[in-house]
Amino acid sequence: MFRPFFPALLANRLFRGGASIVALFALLALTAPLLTQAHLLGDPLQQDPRGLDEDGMPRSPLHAHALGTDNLGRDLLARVVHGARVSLTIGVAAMLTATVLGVTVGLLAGFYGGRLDLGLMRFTEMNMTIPAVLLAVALAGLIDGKQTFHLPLPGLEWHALDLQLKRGMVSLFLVIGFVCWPGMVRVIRAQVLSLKEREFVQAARALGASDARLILRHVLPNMLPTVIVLAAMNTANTILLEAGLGYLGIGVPPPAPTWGSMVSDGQPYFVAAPHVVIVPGMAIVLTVLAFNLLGQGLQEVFDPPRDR
Amino acid sequence: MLARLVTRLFWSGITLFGTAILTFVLVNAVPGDVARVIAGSKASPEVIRQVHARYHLDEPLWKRLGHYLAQLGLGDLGYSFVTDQPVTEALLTRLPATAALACVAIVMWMLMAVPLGVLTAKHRGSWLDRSVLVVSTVGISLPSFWLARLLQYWLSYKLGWFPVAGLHSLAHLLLPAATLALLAVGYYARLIHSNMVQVLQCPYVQAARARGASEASVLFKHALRNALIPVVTILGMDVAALLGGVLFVENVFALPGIGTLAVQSVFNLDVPVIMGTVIISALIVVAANLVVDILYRWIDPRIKTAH
Amino acid sequence: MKPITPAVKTWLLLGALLAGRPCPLASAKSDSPRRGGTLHLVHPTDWRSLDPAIAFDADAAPIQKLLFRGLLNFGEGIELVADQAADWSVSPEGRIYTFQLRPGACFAHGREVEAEDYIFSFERILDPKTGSPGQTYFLDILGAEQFNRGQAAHVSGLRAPDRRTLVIELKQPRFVFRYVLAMNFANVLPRELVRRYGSDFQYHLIGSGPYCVSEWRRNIRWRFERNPYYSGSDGFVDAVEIMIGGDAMLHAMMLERGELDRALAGPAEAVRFQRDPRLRRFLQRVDTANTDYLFLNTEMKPFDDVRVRRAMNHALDKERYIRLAGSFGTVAHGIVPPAMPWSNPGLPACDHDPAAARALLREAGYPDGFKTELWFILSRPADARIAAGIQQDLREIGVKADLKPVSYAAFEVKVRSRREVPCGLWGWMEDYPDPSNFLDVLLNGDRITDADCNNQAFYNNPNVNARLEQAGASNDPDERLRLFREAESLVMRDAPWVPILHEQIPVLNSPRLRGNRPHPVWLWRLEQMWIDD
Repeated sequence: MFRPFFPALLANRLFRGGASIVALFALLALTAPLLTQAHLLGDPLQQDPRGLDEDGMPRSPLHAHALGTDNLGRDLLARVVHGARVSLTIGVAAMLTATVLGVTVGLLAGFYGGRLDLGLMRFTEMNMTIPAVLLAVALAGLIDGKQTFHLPLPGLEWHALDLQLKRGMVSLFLVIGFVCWPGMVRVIRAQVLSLKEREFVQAARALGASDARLILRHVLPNMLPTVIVLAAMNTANTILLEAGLGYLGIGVPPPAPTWGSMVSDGQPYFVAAPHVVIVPGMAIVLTVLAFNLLGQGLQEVFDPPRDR
Repeated sequence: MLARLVTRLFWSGITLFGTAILTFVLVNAVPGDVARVIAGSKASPEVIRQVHARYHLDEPLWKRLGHYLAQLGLGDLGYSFVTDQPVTEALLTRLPATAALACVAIVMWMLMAVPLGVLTAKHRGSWLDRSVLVVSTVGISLPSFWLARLLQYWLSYKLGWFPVAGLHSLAHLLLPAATLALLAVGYYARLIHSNMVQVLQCPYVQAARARGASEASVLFKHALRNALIPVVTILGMDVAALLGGVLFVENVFALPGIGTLAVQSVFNLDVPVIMGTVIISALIVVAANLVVDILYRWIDPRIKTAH
Repeated sequence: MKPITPAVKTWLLLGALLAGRPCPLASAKSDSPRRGGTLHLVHPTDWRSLDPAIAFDADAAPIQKLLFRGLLNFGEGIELVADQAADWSVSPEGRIYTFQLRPGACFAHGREVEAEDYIFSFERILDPKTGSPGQTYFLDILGAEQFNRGQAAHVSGLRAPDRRTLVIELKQPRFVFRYVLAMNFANVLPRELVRRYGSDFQYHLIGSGPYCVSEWRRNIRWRFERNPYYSGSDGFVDAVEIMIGGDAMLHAMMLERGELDRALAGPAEAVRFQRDPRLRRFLQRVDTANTDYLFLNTEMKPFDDVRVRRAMNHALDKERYIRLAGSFGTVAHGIVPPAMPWSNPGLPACDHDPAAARALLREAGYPDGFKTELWFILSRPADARIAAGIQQDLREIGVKADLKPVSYAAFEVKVRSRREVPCGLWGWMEDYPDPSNFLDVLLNGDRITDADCNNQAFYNNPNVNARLEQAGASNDPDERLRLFREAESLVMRDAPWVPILHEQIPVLNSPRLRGNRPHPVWLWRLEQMWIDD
């Protein structure tokens, strides 16, 4: 079903740009432990006394370490790459959570209409009045502070190319996903409303198809392009939000590298060694930008606006 | 018009109420013993029991919700677990800083976005148009705390153009507001651009041109007004996101606003204050949406006459 | 006296003219304090309360001295001077202290300080309802325990024969009690105002110091302005503003931009200022009378064996830890810090000698070393680095130490309970410049309790205990010096601690700040600082 879009996608500059950066980071993230084992990449957790100069300050980039070291002498390049694992995992997991929630609510509201629609939309509106960052800070901070999830939940330890779910990640992506879902609902609902009136849906209904069948076989698949565009742009938001929480010290605990906590760890050294803050920040910017470009490219191809 | 306003106020109140319930359930549902946090780990069982009694921690969630809502109706948001200060008082002393920051930021980016949007709509494809496009996408990709730190370092510390931190004068708000403005200006410029382009193609604009109206009059009196309508709506919806950015910027510039209070209270597990900051943020969002609604009807005469 | 002849008059006049004319070679800048200006300070977090009965943080002490005063204070160094007491004396056996209050010493609301105010303030400290951490220091007063237990309405040892005379009678002679009267707990409060406001007094702080609170926005800002009724000569600036919030880097940036006059430096800022020749002179290292130490619980295996403890002392490379912690400290060789001031020439040395450590362990029956837990406070980043350093050094001698970072509150409870913690990292800053504040409080076996015990090593040596008791009762400075020196030597031989370092606090000063010499007890005295624009 998507095949006709492929040439258009590849021709689109935005999509190409975004997708290549995302693919690069994803590849690095997946292979990071292997690279470290093969000594092609440093160890993100190793506190190297040689990584600090004689006064205990981090070393600048382009000497012994490609991107310099952080305040404890750890190789920044290794930390950024391993940080990609954390950020991308949480970003994608949170996006999936948000998408599932958002699509469910939007679908139900649009498809059934009436009082359910009204109720669900009011509920969504209520969720939207609470600023996402504030709610995420409050919930994640409380979960952290009360030490609710000490260890990964049993049964949730999964390994994919050695991508282990660390302590704190579960609550983090659930919370982020939870605060991000309202943003998707309006668009999804509008899509469902317009799809509902389309001929093939009316026809299937006339033939006696059940609601479930209608939704699953007809509505959902046709919503897929919209959902994918929303997902891409939402991932940008979730990664940004995860970085913000990490910056405040909420989320994945040290010594695990996350870009947000790397920025806040590096702050005291900003004036003396600016690279400790700039490098992880650039990683965040590039990744988020990549997803935004990806989303915009997808949107241009799937749902071209009447104007450029 | 008045009836409309009253209805809107009523629904806003309901929304706020619902938000309070939602927040309360979420915040208090996080498992973990808060009594130990309040009383301190050294506390004897007797003190823990007193804390439980004072804050009704033993009662089921729905009962505590009832207490909370009843107090909320009277404007009482409880007392801080850490300082025993009334939460309402703590929030009200900090509200002006946050509100001022948000307003100055909005004014800043609208003052920049409107001309940019209009110019790029008029000169599509120009270098200005392409630059704004780039700035727009980059702007929404920047983490607010990072940009704030960089700007603070370069413009306040190195160049001395702005004060570094604190809030002693209006000048102290300029750089924090500029940070927030930079993040949003590109996006809004593009928004105005697309709306302007659409509006400029509309028949009534062509008609105005045909009637001999000056280009400036066409642009500003006819086109812009209509182009701004959806922008104002989006602004209302964006206030929630803006408050998120405000949180980080306040922390970087050490401004005495609600954002710094929110972060401190989360680390102290100070639940009443956390609740208070969320509710007052929701209040700001609701209020902003109300204002937007009023502005909307004022800008768009068609809606006014239709009702 | 001879009448002045005209010739003499002329010489006198000429001399006067010459003396009065400004010398062209002298600098225009004066070194004498000028009044005026606002001092801009900062603190990362707000204090829970600045009420003298409640506040116990070391960094709140200089702030308190701006607002509150008492009978005695420390002068330029550790010598006691009469502050708002005009005259004082101690009875020959050392039990009765008599004070004549200085006339004209007034509270910020205009009323003169009276002896009854002191009685009220001290009783407030002893009242269990106040919850003052300073209670223990005042229990030496006659009748204090009975008052504290609710058996008496007043403390019998506190008497005010007239408005300006205060008599304090102790249960038994105690030399260090005079130092207690110079501590911030002993600051005087206006009794009618404290009674009126009760627990809200923290929002209406009034004292007899050079300044009073004109604004307090919690977690945002404090502003102090002159107490118009203050009769002392200190307090040169017109106002003090304390901003709350931010971190060390932000404060350093603000200081360099002239928005702050003084700020504590973090390790990064300290190094940066040190490296930059233009900034170096604004970095100040304040020596503190403090000792950071590793305590070894003598009641838990394997630290019940003195050889193991001595091995631990030889195993640690303290120089390295100081570098890890940012180079702000001096190596500690004994219990009592030299900054007190204190010296003990007879103290046994204990060098970094891993071979000797291993030999001692073998002798004690641990040829393959042993396993233990090293506790430290999570929120002190220097401690985390030092603990990591210690862990590494212990590994060299075969000791496997698991690091156990704990929150401050939890740490405080556990390490002061019996048989809970085998060894841990902590520090003690002096309350007053007397060796008893370290040796007696932290290492006296007679003071061991099952919980809330200040002797975390649970060290009990009757020889040491006897000397400490004797010194506590004695009034003779030479005898006390000898007894404390002997006690410290005995303790170091028994090695219940490994003293690690004496902290130095790096402080940044703005170019216009003067009068900011460090003080051995108060760390620095804000009331002596002035601004030279």
